[in-house]
Amino acid sequence: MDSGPALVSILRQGPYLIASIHVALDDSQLIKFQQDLIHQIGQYRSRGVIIDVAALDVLDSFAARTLRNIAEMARLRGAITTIAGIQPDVAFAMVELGLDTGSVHTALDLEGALEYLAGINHNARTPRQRSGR
Amino acid sequence: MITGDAARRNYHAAFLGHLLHRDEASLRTGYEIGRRAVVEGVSMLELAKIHHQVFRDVLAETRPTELDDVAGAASEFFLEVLATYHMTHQRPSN
Repeated sequence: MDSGPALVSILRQGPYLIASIHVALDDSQLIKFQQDLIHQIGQYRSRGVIIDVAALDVLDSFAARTLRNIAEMARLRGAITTIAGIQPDVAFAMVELGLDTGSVHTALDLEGALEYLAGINHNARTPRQRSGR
Repeated sequence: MITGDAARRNYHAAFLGHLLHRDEASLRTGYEIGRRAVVEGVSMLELAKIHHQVFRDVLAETRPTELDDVAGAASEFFLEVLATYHMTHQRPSN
């Protein structure tokens, strides 16, 4: 768990990193957050990343793009990202303003995000049935 | 709150939320878990068992330098969970 100035927390739990953004970050703080998270994916060999944005009441275009970038960088580092806790007003504003999180998976809350990643990892571990010819 | 795996998943997510935020809102989530458990007739022992299982799982993934912090967070969260049980067992004064 990162106990910095409480702008964000990054908690490692098993194969997952759970990052929570506590306050609206400015552009440089978002970039720092992105770098920290991508670094920790390699450090802990994480297979999944949850970004909890439940505390945010605004998500601007730079933040939305940074979240998409994090998800893509995480994917390149072998981890799946899900964004949890987008508030109703934030979702409304994002749609109105034409912002989106691209193909990044989203979940209602932390519980939903953990369930999603557990399902993905379970499917990845289960060997595929081969159909004989 | 139902018992079993769903309850454990729900408790796990709420406790991780408290570890991340450590604020009144995350404690309130713990309080609500306890309140729902009382309403739905879940015993205190069952809830303690869920807490223990979740706490053990989280500790297994915690770095040694953070053990004290996590143990402290677990204690304050569990006290909130048990608050409703405490209220229902208090004898009225006079």
